[in-house]
Amino acid sequence: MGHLKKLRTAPTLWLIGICALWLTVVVRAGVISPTAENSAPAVKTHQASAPKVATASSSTATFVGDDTCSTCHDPQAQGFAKTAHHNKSDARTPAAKQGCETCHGAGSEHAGDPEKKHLKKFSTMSADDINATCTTCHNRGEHALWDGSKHESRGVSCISCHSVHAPASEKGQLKKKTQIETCAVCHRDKASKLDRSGHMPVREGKMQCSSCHNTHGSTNDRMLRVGDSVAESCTSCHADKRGPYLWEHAPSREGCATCHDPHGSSNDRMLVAKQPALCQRCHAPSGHPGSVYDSTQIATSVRIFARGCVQCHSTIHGSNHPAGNRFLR
Amino acid sequence: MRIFKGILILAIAMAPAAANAQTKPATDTPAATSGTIDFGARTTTTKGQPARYERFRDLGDGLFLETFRFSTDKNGWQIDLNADHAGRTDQKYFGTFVRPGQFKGNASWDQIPFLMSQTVRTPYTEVTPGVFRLDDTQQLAWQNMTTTLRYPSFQTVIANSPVFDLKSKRHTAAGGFEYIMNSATTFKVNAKQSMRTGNQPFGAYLSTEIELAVPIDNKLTDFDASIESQHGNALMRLGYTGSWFTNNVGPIVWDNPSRLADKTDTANTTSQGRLPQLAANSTRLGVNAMISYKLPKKSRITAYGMMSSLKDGGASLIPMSINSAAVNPTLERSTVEGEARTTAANVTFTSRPNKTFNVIAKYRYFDYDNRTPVLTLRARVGNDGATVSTSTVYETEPYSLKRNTIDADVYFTPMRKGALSAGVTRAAESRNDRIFTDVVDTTGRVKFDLTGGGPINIRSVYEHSQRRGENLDEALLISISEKKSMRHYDIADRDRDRVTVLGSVSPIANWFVTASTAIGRDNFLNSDLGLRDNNHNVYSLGFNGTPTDMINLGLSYSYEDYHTKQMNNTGSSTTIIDLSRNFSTAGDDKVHSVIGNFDVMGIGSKVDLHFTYDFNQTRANYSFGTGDPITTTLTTPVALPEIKSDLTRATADGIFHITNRVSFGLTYWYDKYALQDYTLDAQAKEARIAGNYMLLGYAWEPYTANTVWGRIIVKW
Repeated sequence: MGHLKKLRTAPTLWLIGICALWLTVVVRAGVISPTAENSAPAVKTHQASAPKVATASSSTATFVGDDTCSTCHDPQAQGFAKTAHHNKSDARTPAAKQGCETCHGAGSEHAGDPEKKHLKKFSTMSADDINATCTTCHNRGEHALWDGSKHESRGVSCISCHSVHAPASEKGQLKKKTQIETCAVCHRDKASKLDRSGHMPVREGKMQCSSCHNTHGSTNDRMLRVGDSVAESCTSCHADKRGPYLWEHAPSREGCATCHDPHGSSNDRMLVAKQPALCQRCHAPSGHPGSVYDSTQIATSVRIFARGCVQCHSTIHGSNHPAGNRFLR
Repeated sequence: MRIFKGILILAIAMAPAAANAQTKPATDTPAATSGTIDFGARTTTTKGQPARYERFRDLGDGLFLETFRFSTDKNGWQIDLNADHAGRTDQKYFGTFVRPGQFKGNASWDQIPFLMSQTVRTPYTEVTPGVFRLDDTQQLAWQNMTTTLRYPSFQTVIANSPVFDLKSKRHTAAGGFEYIMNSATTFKVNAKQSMRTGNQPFGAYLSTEIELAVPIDNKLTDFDASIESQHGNALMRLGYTGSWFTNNVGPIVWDNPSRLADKTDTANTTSQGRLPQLAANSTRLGVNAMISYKLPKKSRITAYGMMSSLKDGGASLIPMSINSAAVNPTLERSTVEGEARTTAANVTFTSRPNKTFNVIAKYRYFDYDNRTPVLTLRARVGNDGATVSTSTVYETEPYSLKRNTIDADVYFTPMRKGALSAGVTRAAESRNDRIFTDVVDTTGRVKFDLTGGGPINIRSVYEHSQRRGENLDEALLISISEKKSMRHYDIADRDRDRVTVLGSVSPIANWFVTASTAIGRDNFLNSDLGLRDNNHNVYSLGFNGTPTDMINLGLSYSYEDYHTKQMNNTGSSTTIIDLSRNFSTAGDDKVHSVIGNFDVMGIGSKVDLHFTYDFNQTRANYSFGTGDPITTTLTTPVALPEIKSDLTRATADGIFHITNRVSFGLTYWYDKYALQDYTLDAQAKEARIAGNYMLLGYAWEPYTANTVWGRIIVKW
């Protein structure tokens, strides 16, 4: 127990320690490198009026224009021209500002000496530097909670999933053709579950990963797009399960994923296990749930086949019936 | 009708294409108007039941319009009009209307079919929505039969009942806009209405195990509006959300096949059963606010708060029974009065004062406060049988939950692209009416990530967590006839260890090898009964490459193994646990998955070929053990048969580009589903024909499907 108590007090100690460490680093950074805070380009975002000049590759470099860039980088320029970034009628886009140089920096020195003077090459930059560039503009709405999000904290950069010059997807400028393919690069196990016999209509194209998740950050658990709990996210579509009920089945209020696997399962109703084994994980009362349901019961016990335990406990998500305490009606 | 619709759609869709083909020469310069239409004819042959193949889609024979895309840029407006599967039951139409930098509007109509089965039968007639009746003559005959004759007779009558489709559909209309008021402020509105209609299987016990295809007819309307504004370093957002759920199906009523006339009987042999409506109308209204402030030293603090109210729509408390022979106890109120309020708040602080150090700290608060008044019951009508007055007072349990979570992670990046981090999470929960009033879950973790543009990328994390409950209330378990040593695994004491590693290597340009592993061990260390272990091992290996501009190929394999062990007890006492009556259940799921693709583009500048292959094989086993300790009074249980589920899909897609704008395509899909499942397959259905069942016969049945598409793709 002493060990346990120690672990429980750990977060407080961690917080204090981290605050102290952060203060130390900040103070030192302030002394040693007072200008360290703005390594990202200083493009002002969402300015309908003339944008301010982007950070150049060096203090002396000047902008040379897209035509100069496309002299050598024509494939990239052509790809760029097909994307929303190239929409000059939108004052917020790179095309309406300095074109290629909005993101890559002013190019006069690079144009003069391409071998020695380099612009920002995103494929070799750190995730933080890449993200700092993109979030200069993409810092609102969907992207407002990127800082501190799961993906940001694990070194995922914008170009891990998105392609500025050669997107393969119809929407969202993804590097892969679909969201599933994109997300499966890292989340292979989740993509595999979509191929189970019980699944949401994702592989049929009626839902996609972003139907439930905001990969850029959210206020909910698991980067869920809607609500402030797992149950709230699920019941945003399955509103018939949201209650509030006279008799609540607590696990369904706490989190649908206790019993269901939203990514897919080989069990009916995407349950994480077959009934009655699933229900027996929590129930062993003096009545039937404490019984053995083995191979000898296959043809005789409805707790095994058809709807299993919910054949009788059919309002398992909650009941408004005055006698609904066992969710029988 | 479908062919007529197809022809009509084809004609409409072809019109602009033909017009454009006549008036606009093909050039490489971007046109103000562009689009694509992908249409043709399709045929599907299915051996077995097609319901699972077409579960969420319509792949029937006939003409189809797979996609239609139209974009135009006129007078400062960009308009996109799109259609998928037009004329089919899974059709979708969507469009956007954008004035860049000022306004974005969108509208959509989406239909999702849900075909569950085409082989179900029932002897019940749904006389009005939700009211299921049997033929009185038949009901009386069954009432007078012995069970030996009655049960086979049930199956005979079911077998002679007509087959019908068990299906539902969800139609969703949505629209919204984003108005950019000025460079700092954006106003957004979204509205959506989902309408669900159809039927779904429902367990309707009344001495006989009955399954009904109960009606679905509900509507969900969502509305949200927000205003977001950025001033200097501050980004602020205020939002409102509203959600209204309406269920048009009233209480479900069904006949008891074993009894025509009402009678009081504790053995559940009444005339009819009844339920309240499957889901009550409800309304959720909420407001939220967010402020994010950029601090010096690349730091940011973000705070978010939300309050919402969830209320039922004045649902009535229906009488305990419609059994005219039973006396319904008087209820202390007439309506449910369901109400809950939710409050949530997040504060996130991130800081990256220099290249080698950063910190992320989060605090999260969530409070689900159920304000539904307690309903006290002193008598009940058990299963629509006799009225039972009881000395036990039943009280409803308005279940509430509060969570406080603190997260803190510190990251060191000693190398340019390599980050080491360590962090902790403390999630403290308090709740009522569960075995623990308080639960604290403390997690420590370390991570190593090597990311960036190099040839090797690694993301790895190890975490250990301890969850412990406080104020154990075994009396609560006993009061609901549960054994006192049962622990509910979603809140039970648990030690958890998890390791995940994801790596990718690019040994040569345009070739990537990826591998991942995820290993998890959950040990519910104080659960004498209930789930004790929940472990998983997941491994994957894959590669993809683009050896030339023309060729893209990839292949991945993954293996997943999920293992659980749980303990149960057949004893009758809730307080004295007879260990010799313990038995264990071990669940073991093994899954093999293969996903592959091979694309060849621009063969002779004319032909593109795409091939895909997906294979998913699941093997699940439930086996039993007895005795904990070894001595047992139980007959040794027999393991359940292995569950086998194999899904194989292969596609071949060839596109021949006749001109830059016109292509001809031929597509072939092969889809095979094989199943052996004692709970769901047809064999299991046959095994129970002699029982006291009146089931729909819903099963997951195997199929082999072949679909061939001939298509024309026109771009302009």
